[in-house]
Amino acid sequence: MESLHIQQTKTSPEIILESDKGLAEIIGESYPENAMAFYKPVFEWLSAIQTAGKQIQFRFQMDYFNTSSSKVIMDILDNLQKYHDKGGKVEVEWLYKEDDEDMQETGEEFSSDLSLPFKMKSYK
Amino acid sequence: MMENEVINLFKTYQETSEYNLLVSFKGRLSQEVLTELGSMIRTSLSTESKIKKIFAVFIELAQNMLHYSAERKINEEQKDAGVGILIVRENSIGYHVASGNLVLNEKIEFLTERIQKINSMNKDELKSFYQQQLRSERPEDSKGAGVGLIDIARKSDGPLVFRFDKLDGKLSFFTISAFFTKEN
Repeated sequence: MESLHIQQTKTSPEIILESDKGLAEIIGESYPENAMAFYKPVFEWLSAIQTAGKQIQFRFQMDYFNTSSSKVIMDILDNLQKYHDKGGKVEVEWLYKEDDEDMQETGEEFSSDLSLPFKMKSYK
Repeated sequence: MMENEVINLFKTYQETSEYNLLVSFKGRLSQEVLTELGSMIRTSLSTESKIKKIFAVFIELAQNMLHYSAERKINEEQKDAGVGILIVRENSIGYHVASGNLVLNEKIEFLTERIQKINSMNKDELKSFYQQQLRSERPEDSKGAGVGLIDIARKSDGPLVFRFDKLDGKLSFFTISAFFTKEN
């Protein structure tokens, strides 16, 4: 299980996957040409971490994402919820700029169906 | 050798001036072109409070065209890309973000019903519809989530406006436009 650091581009976010800490971060903007293909490494990492039975801290700090990315984020959260349901230790953090009501509302919408620990935090 | 004809751009210039276009593009789209057009929007609308919503709607329309326009061309990277028109126009009361591209006639009924259904919903109904669609399986042959049009309706002000202009027995030109009111 390898750690991975994907650099930000104009249309895709920075992704940090730290295996030792079980920490995943997605930071920035996301509207890649093919969102499913772009996020494939995240799902592979999740699968490896979960097989090893580690705890996961997943942090979203996004300014904008398109609907294809929105679907993938939903898939990530579903994946984390399943792990949580099976007894895995999971915590999600949703960070949004303090004046970004849309991103705050989006976080609330995503978390509405989840029972895993989901923290909303604003930043300046 | 081809003769270098004089091309009369005056009519095109007059029309585009009349439309007050902030951004206009016609041709083969690519992720790179789409990104640059997005940057242009961010620059020209940097003081507009709805800039994030306008940008997001533009990206949805552009990616729809890139992936689903029935007119296709192979680009430099040997990738198949959609062809069409994208515009952002400003007038005294707001902004129009619109796209136009070819679609197969067999898609007209689906698109019409989809847009009419979306237009019949209020903001809360759109929110539930979005959530429900996001949680369902990805549509076949889709690179996205099948929620692009719902997202456009949620972000913009007022109903989506659309039309089909029939070309022949196989293809039509599909225009769709979202509107944003100016707050001041």
